[in-house]
Amino acid sequence: MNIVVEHSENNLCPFIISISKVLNAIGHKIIFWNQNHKSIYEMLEELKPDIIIVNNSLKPNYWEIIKNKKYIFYGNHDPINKAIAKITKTNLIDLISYPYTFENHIFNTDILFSSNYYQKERDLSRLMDKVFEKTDLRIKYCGHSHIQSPYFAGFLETEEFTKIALCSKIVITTDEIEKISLLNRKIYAILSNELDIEEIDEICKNEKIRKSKLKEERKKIIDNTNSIEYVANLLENIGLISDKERSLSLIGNLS
Amino acid sequence: MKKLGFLMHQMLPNQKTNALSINLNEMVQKYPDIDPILFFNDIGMCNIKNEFAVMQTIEALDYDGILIATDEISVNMFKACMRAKEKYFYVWDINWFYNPRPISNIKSLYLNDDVKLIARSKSHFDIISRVFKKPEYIIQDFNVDEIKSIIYDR
Repeated sequence: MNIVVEHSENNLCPFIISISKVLNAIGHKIIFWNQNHKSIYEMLEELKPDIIIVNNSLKPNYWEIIKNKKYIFYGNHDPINKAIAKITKTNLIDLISYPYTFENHIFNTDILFSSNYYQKERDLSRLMDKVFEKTDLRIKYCGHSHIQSPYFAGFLETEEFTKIALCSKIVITTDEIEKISLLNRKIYAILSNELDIEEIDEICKNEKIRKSKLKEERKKIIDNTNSIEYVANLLENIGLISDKERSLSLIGNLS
Repeated sequence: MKKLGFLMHQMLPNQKTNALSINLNEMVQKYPDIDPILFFNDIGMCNIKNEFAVMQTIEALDYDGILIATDEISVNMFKACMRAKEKYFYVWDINWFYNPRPISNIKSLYLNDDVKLIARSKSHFDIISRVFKKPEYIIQDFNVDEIKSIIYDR
């Protein structure tokens, strides 16, 4: 079987390494395809894949073509991916949830104030001044709009903002929809007018505990998901491996 | 001899250059075991007569002492200073406030793991620690007695 794995990033994720090792060991042909170097039309014509393995970095216009083929989808288990899976009607497997998170520790922040929807007429600087006086937490403003404050760390694109928000304990926003969007990504977000300064230390403390627990859980899931045995089970479930025992003996020397 | 180098993009007759020149002149007199050098890109002009070594920045690339950058342009040069024992950024002013930029640009200056920060005052220290990372020292206007602690604390 020709199996094409879409991978446009520099480093291969452990899940893809495991799945490729298993498939290779049981005699399938694995080919990596970079969507930025070669279009999907060229790839389909040249490689004639039986199965395509894709993740959420696939270009949106390619989903229309992919959904008519046999494919495996792996990616972040977040609402956006669920929506993609729903739209594209996965025909081989509903969804392989591969949980990975981006954490950039250099941006670790206690309170991140989003300036994405900040309007100058709403004078929030007084509120934030109180927060600065009250606590000695790490605080910064980031986002699309400039806020006249030394705590404004710089402009950010939406995607980068989410990455930094993931490393923050609380995100304060002025926009209801942004708050909902952040909460969906399991980021503690609060509207500026809902902020209770008296409770801010307590919230940060609780968030720290919650995040460390979440990190441990994720690590366990990722370790399990990346194991060769997990991948072999998965492939057996979707019919790519017919005889699990035989396959496992073949790949026994891999790990 | 203990090596201490300062990087400055442009020597202009301003408060920063004057403070640095006065203190380096004092350092030469007071601490003869320290050999300070000022590396510059543009010599511009300086009101004070230097009694310490002044060299072009290209010489800093092979410098094997402690290096202290005094402005954002000089910090960017740190990448090429492979032999420096330690790299510090003396944050003279809160430039990100006057000149807002994308965070990707600011990150390499203030959140670089290889570069330690020096704050100029307690209020600067508070802002820098909250927004970026905790500075290692608070040294007011290149005070020579405080700067020497960078060398002797090691």
